[in-house]
Amino acid sequence: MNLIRLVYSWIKHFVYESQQMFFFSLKVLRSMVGRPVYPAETLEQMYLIGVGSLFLIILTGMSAGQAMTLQFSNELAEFGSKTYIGRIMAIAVLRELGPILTGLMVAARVAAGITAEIGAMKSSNQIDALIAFGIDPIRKLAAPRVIALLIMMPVLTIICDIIAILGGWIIAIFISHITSTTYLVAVKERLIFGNLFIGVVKPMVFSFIIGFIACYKGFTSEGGTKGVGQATTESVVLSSISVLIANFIITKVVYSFLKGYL
Amino acid sequence: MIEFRNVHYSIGNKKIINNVSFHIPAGEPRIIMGHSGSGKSTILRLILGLACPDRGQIIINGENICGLNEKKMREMRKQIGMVFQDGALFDSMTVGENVGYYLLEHTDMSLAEIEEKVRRMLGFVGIGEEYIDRLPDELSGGMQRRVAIGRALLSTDPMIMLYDEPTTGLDPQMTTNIINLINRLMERNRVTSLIVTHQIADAFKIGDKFIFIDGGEVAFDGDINGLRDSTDPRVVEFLEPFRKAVAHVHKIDFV
Repeated sequence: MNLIRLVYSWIKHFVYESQQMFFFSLKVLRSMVGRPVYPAETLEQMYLIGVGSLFLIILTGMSAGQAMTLQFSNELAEFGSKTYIGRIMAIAVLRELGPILTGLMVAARVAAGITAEIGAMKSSNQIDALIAFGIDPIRKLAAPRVIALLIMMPVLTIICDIIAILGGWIIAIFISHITSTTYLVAVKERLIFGNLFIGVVKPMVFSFIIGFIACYKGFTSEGGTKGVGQATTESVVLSSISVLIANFIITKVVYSFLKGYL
Repeated sequence: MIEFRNVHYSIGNKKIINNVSFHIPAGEPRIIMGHSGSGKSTILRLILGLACPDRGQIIINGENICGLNEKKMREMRKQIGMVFQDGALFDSMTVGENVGYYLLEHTDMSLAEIEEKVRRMLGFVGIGEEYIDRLPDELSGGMQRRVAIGRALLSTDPMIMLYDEPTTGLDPQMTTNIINLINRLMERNRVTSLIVTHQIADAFKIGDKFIFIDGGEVAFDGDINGLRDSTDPRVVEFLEPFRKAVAHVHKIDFV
């Protein structure tokens, strides 16, 4: 009986949270258009998100690209198909690896930062102070962050893609002993509309997910420092899981509707 | 003028404010006293429209603010200045940016004009010009509180000032400075002032009319004589540590 009550209360909480998050997301979307706009805040956030995440993205892209090329080239060598490594890398990186790695890295780094910052502002009454001065805190704090994510996530993903393919190129030449031309021509063959489309759409969707969850968790954090810490953890976990789920759904949808372009 | 008419407010199942009614005429100060967690600060949040009551009416300058839409509420807030507990200064902005923030957001004033107003306001609240480019973290608690008062004044040119624990955690010298500032402001602008505090000694230096809140209810509403003579056990218990001080207050000595 207790278990049923526990499950019921968990479901109730989940539905309530989902509903609140949905309405919050609508408010953020509405605040992203119209005046006043905060270009300085948006540019600052673009810098913090873009430049701040660059090292992590380069490191992740490079190591993932190299590791994948190493693994695939060993397997493909058994079938005498090592020359296909460029094609496989291009498909894997553009469609999945680049967006997912960037999404998870940004979810971990940026979502935590956004939630902690907004949560700290809330616990020190700074958000109430903004409201008291007639400023909409969602327009002032959430909208610039979501817009910055929307612009920077595709940029970071493209950088991650390039670095991962470059990492694969290094391994292909020096360890798998494939010529540079073979690798690059194979990569170029798969740089087609469908793959590039997925590679840009995914990070754009992820940016909304990460932005909404991170801001929502910050605005709804309660209980001082401990509450902010808890909200930050929840923000990272929830945005990472949501990115993974969204990735699967987008892949499935794109395969259903754009199969001819892939 | 501020009036509460049978206001109820709860969070979840917990009653925070229970059937609270009081009236503060325009230009008068009123001290709200009570234990921590008694609902004092919530009253300020309700006045500012940061929370909505479940039942009852809150009348500000003749208008019931309950149910006002966000646009009208924003206009209403322009009449109200709020000094939050611990200042609530924007920690990513300098002292000058904090004080001039409202003007920067809501007016077409040039930066030079805003800076001039900010410098004048900092002078009024007793903050030296050398602090204008410092971050709030670099200031003492008392200075932060004074910057917060300056920010509230320059923001809204208020008819009502709300102070949430303005002297809590400050040393005696800083406390005296803040009390001086609040009194100076009341005398100069005749603003309706609502000061939430549990510092009894400070309360007597600011006003002579008190509201005592206990468990979200008004346990006392009256002047110093009524407070001294109150037989309500909640008031008696709260004032007991200060009974001697209360007995000696015959008239309020404004600092």
